[in-house]
Amino acid sequence: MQAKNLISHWLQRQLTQDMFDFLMKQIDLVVSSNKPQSLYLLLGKISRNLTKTDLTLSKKDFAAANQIRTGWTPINWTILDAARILLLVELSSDNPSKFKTNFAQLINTADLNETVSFYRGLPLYFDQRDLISHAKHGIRSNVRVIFEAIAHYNPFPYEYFDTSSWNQMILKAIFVDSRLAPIIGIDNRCNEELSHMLIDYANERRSAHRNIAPELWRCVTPNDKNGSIDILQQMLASKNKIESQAAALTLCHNQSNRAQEILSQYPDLTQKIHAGEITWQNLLV
Amino acid sequence: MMLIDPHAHMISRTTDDYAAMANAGIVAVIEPAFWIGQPRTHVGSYIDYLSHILGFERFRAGQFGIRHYCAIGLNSKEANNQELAEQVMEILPRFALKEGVVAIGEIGYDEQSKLEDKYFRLQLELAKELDLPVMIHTPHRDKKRGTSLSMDVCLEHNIDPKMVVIDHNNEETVQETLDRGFWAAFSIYPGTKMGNVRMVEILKKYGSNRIIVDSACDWGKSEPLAVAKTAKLALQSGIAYEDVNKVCYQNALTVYSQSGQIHERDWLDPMPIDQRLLFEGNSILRGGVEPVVTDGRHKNKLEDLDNLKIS
Repeated sequence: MQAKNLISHWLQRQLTQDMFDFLMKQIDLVVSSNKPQSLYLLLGKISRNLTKTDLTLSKKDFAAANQIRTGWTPINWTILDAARILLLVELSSDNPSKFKTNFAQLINTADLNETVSFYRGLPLYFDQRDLISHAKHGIRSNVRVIFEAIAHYNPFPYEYFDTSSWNQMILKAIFVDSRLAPIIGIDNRCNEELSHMLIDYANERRSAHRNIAPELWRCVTPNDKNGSIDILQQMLASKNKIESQAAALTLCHNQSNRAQEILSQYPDLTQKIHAGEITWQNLLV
Repeated sequence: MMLIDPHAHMISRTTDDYAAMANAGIVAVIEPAFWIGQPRTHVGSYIDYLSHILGFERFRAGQFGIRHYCAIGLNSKEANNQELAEQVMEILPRFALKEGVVAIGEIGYDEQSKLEDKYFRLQLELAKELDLPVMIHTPHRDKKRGTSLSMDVCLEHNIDPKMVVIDHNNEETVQETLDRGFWAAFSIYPGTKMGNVRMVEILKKYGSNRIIVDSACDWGKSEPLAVAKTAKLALQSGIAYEDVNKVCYQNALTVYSQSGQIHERDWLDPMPIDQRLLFEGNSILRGGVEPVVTDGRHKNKLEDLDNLKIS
């Protein structure tokens, strides 16, 4: 089964038969006609005729999605997302070489909801390499939901971003108060430069007496030279549970003597981490 | 009382204005497409502008608990740049059916030139084809004649007057606008257009039927609280609550909801999807500030307003 079949199946479940048939027919027409105006008109009809509700997906649906395309995680997808993404998937498979231009035009004239939809569908289009610059452009958005359409539950950045762009995405997430936990592959692309930038940022926040997002430490490799272990030591003693847990998680993964020595004073925290009770994933839940 | 400002160029206004408007009870604004202070030289600017009032500005307004809608169109001034006008007409259909587009507008005449006439008529046809209301900008120079002409042309193209808002009316134009069955909007804009003391007189004379109050606030010295101040002044002057509610809220909602893109529940009971998109991505309010309104309910703060008079 392909992505387009699965998405069609979801839509058929939630749309009336008439609406579903109408949508499928219109998508066929648009793909075969190749006229830009008909594409825009259909997008308009989708916005105006389909209801603004979430897709109701089961565990089986998520498993099926992941099977078709590793990392495809349609959390919080709406019916409108599904319809728009289906349209784009069909367009891109019909003419992959033209899709890059199509996508550029669509993104440039998209409203907020459409922008979110188009970015959410990135891991499903052909050819994804052509769309990397668009994704990099999208994560510069200050509209958090647009940023998250690319950064969260989306395998695209993990697979296609170079280190510099990956690092920028993590930093941006912290800046726009977005979560790191939903970033696919967050633990597998830690690098020294990112660690550096995050520690600098933590120090900047500390000097300004502002709070530091606890998730920031997930991508940090602390060391003695840049003050990070000092900050973590303070955090461990904090009354704020989230801070102390974040600090413990960070130090746990650090093999330096100093880190282990500090941690030894908090056996309770260490034990809970080893038992899997405290993890980065459930830190802010 | 909840208020709507159905003509506000928020792209030119600051977040202070949004905060003040929200505080004064404004629940929704409509931003019509217009010129931006100096002439555009490229269709790309127009495309980006339409994209902005459809996208980012909706989001920006949402951060203050205000629902933002827009009207799409080629304005009368830039209709005179034929090369630009042709290209804009070609891309308009791309935007006209986007979410939150409540009308084709603001279109009409500036100098009443041939080119303005050509593109006005084309856009009326577009509005008819897409079944959208029309927001009409009436000229500031030679207004009486231009307003009459605007209505003549609408009727010539078989546009239902109930779908058309004739904006920037004054004492000289209101009678004809109402008589011919159109909605009559008034822009309470200090110094140049209508003032609210005069507006109250108009309400006393003509009642509230098919009358709409807006601010038309823009790059110039204008008053984003015009609708609120006019509402308060009207109430103080003895205009019935129901009539003030009509001209400062209900009538705008009635005419523009014919587009299917604006509903009272948008601010009274926002859908979860809208909450996520508009109210929760609070990157404009940095430093841990929460969006002003999270439950969709607005508190009337008309009583806090002072310095009411706009002349």
